Amino acid sequence: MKQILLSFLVFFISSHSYTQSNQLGKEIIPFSMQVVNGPNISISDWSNYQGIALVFVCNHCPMAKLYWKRMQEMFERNQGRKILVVAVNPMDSLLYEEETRTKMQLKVKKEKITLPYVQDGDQSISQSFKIPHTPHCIFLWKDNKHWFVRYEGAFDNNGLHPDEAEPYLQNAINQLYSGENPTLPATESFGCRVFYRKV
Amino acid sequence: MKKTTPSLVILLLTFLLTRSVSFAQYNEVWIPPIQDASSYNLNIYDTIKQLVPTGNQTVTIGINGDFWGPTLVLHQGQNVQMNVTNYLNDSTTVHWHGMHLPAVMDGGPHQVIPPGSTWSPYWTVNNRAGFYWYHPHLHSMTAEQILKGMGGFLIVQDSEESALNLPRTYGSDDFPLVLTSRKFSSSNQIVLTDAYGDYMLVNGTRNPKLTIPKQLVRLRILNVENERGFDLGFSDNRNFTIIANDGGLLNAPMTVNRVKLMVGERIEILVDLSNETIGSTLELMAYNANQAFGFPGGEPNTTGAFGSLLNNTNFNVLHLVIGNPTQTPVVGIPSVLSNQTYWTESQATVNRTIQVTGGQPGIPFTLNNSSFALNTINYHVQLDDVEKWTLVNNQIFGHSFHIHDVQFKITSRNGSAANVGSHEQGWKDVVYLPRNENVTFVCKFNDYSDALHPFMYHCHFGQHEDGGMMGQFVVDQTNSLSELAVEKLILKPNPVEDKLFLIGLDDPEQVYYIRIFDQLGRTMYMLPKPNLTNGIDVSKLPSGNYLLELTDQQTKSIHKLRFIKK
Ligand SMILES: [Cu+2]
Repeated sequence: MKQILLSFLVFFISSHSYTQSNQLGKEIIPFSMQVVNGPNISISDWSNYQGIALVFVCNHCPMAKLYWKRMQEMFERNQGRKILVVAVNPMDSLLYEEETRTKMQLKVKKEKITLPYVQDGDQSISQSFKIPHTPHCIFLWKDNKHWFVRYEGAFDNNGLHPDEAEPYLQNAINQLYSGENPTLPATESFGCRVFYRKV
Repeated sequence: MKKTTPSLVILLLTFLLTRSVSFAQYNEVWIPPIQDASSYNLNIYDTIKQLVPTGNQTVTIGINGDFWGPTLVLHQGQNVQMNVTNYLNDSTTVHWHGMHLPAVMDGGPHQVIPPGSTWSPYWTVNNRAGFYWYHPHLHSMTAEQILKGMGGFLIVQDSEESALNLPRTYGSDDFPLVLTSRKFSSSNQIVLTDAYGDYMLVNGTRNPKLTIPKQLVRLRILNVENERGFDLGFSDNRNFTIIANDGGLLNAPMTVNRVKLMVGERIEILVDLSNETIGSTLELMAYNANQAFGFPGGEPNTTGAFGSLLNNTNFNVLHLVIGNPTQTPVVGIPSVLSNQTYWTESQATVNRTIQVTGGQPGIPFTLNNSSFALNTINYHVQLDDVEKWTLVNNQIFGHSFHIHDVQFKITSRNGSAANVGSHEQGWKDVVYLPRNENVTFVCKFNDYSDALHPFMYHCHFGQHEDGGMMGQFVVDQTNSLSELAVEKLILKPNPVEDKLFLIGLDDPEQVYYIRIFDQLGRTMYMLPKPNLTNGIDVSKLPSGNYLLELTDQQTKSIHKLRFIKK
């Protein structure tokens, strides 16, 4: 009896260990993404794009917060190149009230964000890429109608000072766009751990 | 030619100057803000700090800040209320290290604070004046959360210490120092898996210097390394005076020129700088070279899981610069500090022996061959018993042993009282257990019993503790409290705007724990043994439906009541 009762006080949301994912080179079948920027928008037809950058971020993580302006600029900068930049929220909205669809919509409206902000409601997209934390980037590139992960890791290497940062993700995009292989296809990222809801 | 020479010289000079500046660049050590109140709000955040001089910021955990929290003053005999809100992405706990308090307020691995919720423990301070601290204690996550900077100082004041003529002007002649080191990854992040850091941080400041007045000063020093011990001394080999350790003032000051400070231990020392020249410098050093085998940090490796640039070397901990004296310097050291009577081995009615086990390659260290399990109570201690604990270490490495709830007296090392160090004479809550040695302490488990909630005992090395080198005990007594008459309990007013009252309680002591959940099951508030006379403040909750779970003190059964927040 005592032992059963003891456990009621214990509520863990995670185990300790996680590993940096390694998705590089993996082929991806296009999937649909639910965008919160407006009612009933989704990105499901990828045929118009040559590259898709998935930047996994969220509302509450202080490291992710540093990147919204940079993401929006990257979205605008790459629009003419058939390259889509998408912000994806991998967080469990049951765990964090701050990560609900309503709060995401509020953020988009308040901060005039036009890049698509995707709620990964069942965490399936994030789980399939084994996203370890926010912020974390995955760049998908189309090669002969097939999509592959061609860059994975940090957005850049300076959270507080964008002007001093080496833009890892943008460099990889630029190199692929001009027909080269990325010099740095994978970098170390870090931030707020993503906890996957157990089903 | 003539004209270019001066500019060349200037260029060269500038180059040399900038180089020398960047080489000897010290940062003034950060002294955490001090707060003196009866109620404290601690807000724990994921954040970042520039810990590596160039490049990316480092992910840290801050408590009301970006690394390490505020210094909280507690007064003996007074109540203190803590409101700990977890804004982290992960769960955590906050343990009040060294405090004697009810187990349910202790902040051990069972008092998990889920993200987004507030834990509100309170207690009557009955510790002696001294230097204590708070830190996370979530099982298997303790090392990571401490390494990210989560913790803070507690300073307890009492009438005995206040009556003595000692330096105690915080940040002026009385300085708190937390010593720790970190190793950084290529992207400037704290390496969480290794035993040792490469770069010292004092109060989270890298390359630290402290401008210190030309007079008698007090340093309160805490070791929050992952594993490393420090054999502390000054670069001129001067004597200094130990006045207190873990549990407060010693009976008499001890003069030494070296003191070993192991993980979790505290020491308060007086250093006489009155004869120094203003502007002169002095180093607080760790004389860690050539320590006995098994001394944590004595390993020869400079890289790898047990490697560090600081291993087996003498290194600079803190650069001291002598500054102007304060207006009223304290002069002279009292010859008598306290008059404590300590427990003796013959007073103990219960003897326990704890062996260090495991630790072979690939096997974590354990205590008595059993790894920590949240639902296993290792010992039942009877309230008011005096017990003698003997720790035996026949393994390959030293450890820092810590026990919650009590302050103990170290009575012998390797069977002899004469082996107990001069720096560990007072009340202690951490004891160093070197390789191939044993140590005995005596303590009394008084005041707080709780058949449900355990206290911990464990190695304070982050990875050892997380790896299962921990056990737990409950302090039992027969309880005469009545059971709740549940059927008549109601919440009023309902719907509620600010204060929620529990109607129908005969005795508020019947309530062991209250937790409040929102409609989706997120924990909002965790209130151990709440004081219900003024109601529960729910004014900050968003409108909606809530569930209040009340745990009965006597039966520990849970009762559920619903309410609506307007
Ligand atoms: Cu240990």
